[in-house]
Amino acid sequence: MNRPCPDRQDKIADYVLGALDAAQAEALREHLSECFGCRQYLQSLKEQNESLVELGRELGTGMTARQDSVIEALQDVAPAGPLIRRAFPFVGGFVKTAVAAVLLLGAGITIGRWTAPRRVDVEQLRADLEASVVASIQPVVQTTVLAQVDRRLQAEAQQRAELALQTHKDLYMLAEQFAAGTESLENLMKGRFAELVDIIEAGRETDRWRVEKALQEMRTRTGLGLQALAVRASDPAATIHD
Amino acid sequence: MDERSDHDLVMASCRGDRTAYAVLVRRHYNQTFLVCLGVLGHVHDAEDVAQDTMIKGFERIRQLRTGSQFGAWVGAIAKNLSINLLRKQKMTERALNAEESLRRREGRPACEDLQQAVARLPWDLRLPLVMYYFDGQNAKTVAEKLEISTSGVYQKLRTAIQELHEILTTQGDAP
Repeated sequence: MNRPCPDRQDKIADYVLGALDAAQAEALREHLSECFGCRQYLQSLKEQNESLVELGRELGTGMTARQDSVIEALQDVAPAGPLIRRAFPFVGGFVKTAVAAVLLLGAGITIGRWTAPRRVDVEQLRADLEASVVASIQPVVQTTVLAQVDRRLQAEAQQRAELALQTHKDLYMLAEQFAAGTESLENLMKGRFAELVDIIEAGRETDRWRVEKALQEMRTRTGLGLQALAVRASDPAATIHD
Repeated sequence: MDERSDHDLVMASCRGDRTAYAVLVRRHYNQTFLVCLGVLGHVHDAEDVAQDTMIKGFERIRQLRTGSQFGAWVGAIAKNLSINLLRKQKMTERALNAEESLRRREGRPACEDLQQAVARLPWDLRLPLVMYYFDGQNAKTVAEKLEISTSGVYQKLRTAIQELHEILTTQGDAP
């Protein structure tokens, strides 16, 4: 079999299907009169076309028997589902609409709750304000306090320097006075020492007087017995022989 | 011949009137069968699925919103059931013997006639072909039923008859 022109095959198929307009069909017929391969292809498609129509006819002959078979099979089948929708055709739509409305309402409430502004929490607001104020003031306060501390440290250092200077001056003056007054100080100390000796002597005299006075009192009260006792106490051997 | 409209017959079927539904079956079975045949490509499979479709239609007829659309509704059921069966067949075919399947597709058996050649087309080309040639050769009607444009139907038909010709010619040339 001669091959048809590749660029004519679609046109030939459309020609068989009756899809070409008059001008296209005429142009194709002119080509077909000159091209054996395309004529063969057209003839083959036409035969195939007729065979398909014939096949359809054959299949159509058994349709009534097939329908009978289906209707017979249906005798054992019961229609399922409630009859309420057919009896009340509006019920299904009404119920669906009601359900949709409830769902929409629920969704709206949910979204509204999510997006609505929350109730003011006074404590939280106060805490937030305090935190905000502290955050805004804290740097200023810190700067001020640090400046004051710096000033005080500077003043203290100045006072220390002044004190050290004053101490130095005092020591210097004291050293000068000490150097100038060594002799008079020695005399003063000698005088003080003499006074101290006198005081000690006076104390001794007073003690002697008190001891003597006590002995006289004892002598008055105990007589010579005490003296004998004193002798015995100073001589232990005599005491044993007695 | 029952003169009642599809809508009236559907309403009667909803009340359990089997006679009314039988009229609907007579009126729409051919189209349903062709849809099944167009998708599946084999007459016996198409008969089984068309019967299942009609039975499911009776069971679920209360789900149909508009009685006048019974034809389109039952056609959609037929198409879905057919595609499901086609998928199952392909899965089974693959599971059983992928090699044999390939040989059958590529080997081009010598005794293949026109009906078998139609069955070898892809179902999206076979469906408009069957609906066109087996039901009055009206591209506009096919376009409405498949919900595509008329030019789209012609394009699919052109491809289908060219592929069919290729299958048959190669088959004839095979030793």
